[in-house]
Amino acid sequence: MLAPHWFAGFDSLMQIVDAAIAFTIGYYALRGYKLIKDRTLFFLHFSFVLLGVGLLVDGVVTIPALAFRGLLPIMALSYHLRITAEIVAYGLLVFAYLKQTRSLMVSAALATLFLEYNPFLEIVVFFLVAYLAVQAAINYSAKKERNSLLVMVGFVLLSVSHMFFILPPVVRLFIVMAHVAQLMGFVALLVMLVKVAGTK
Amino acid sequence: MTDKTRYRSQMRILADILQVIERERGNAKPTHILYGANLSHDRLMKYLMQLKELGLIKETVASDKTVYSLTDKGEEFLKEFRKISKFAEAFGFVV
Repeated sequence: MLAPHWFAGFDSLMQIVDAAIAFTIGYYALRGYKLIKDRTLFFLHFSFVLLGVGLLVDGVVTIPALAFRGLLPIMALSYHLRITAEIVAYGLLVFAYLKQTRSLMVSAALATLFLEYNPFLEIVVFFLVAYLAVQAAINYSAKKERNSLLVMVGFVLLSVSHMFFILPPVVRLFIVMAHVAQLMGFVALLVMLVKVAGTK
Repeated sequence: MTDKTRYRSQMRILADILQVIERERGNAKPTHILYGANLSHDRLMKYLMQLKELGLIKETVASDKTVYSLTDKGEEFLKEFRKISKFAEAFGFVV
């Protein structure tokens, strides 16, 4: 990716932290699935584990690739692995929301979105996360609960980060902002998880 | 996520029963549970049997009256269920 030189390494580190948070959320969702056998929790688990795998592989591979130029093709491969994992993971979450709301209008709108040819995978991810952010905002407006607010903030920050991931060809600094927004998004989700798990 | 009329999952029903029993503080009569968990008599009996088999509640018969209370395992289950439920609700999912 087109990150500024001074940022090299930090992006990997941030991705590894993002991955750790994603795995933690995925693990908690799995615990819930094992306890109450609700399929939605399995979707949550699978989505966050996939996100974690993508981020971890991309983050880990990028570190040696910075030192050895011969590893650059592997870096490109890991980037594609991450973006594919993100598309599948966020797509699964969108599916889980659609399944619960059974909103045909939203399904139709989403289908139209996918039917349009779009060469930029980052744009696909952005739309998926933006949809999740809208759903989280609807949920928060209905519940007015702090945990729902944190999830909304998390998904809004993740969609902002993916918007910044689309823009690096314009300004390189956007990639830094993208990583920072992504980390903050995952931290918001982690705070929610810590609050929930700490409930007596 | 919009709140819609949804069928309760089996786990949700079991958790609702456990919550009524918890509210009655170890002195839950079948009629209380029936109204509290919004179930028919036959279904309630089936679920109570299931909860007993799982070791989540215990049945006590005293002077011809049957009452139900939570076991430690039942209390633990309910605590975990509430956490998981909060977690899912934060994402807008209903379990």
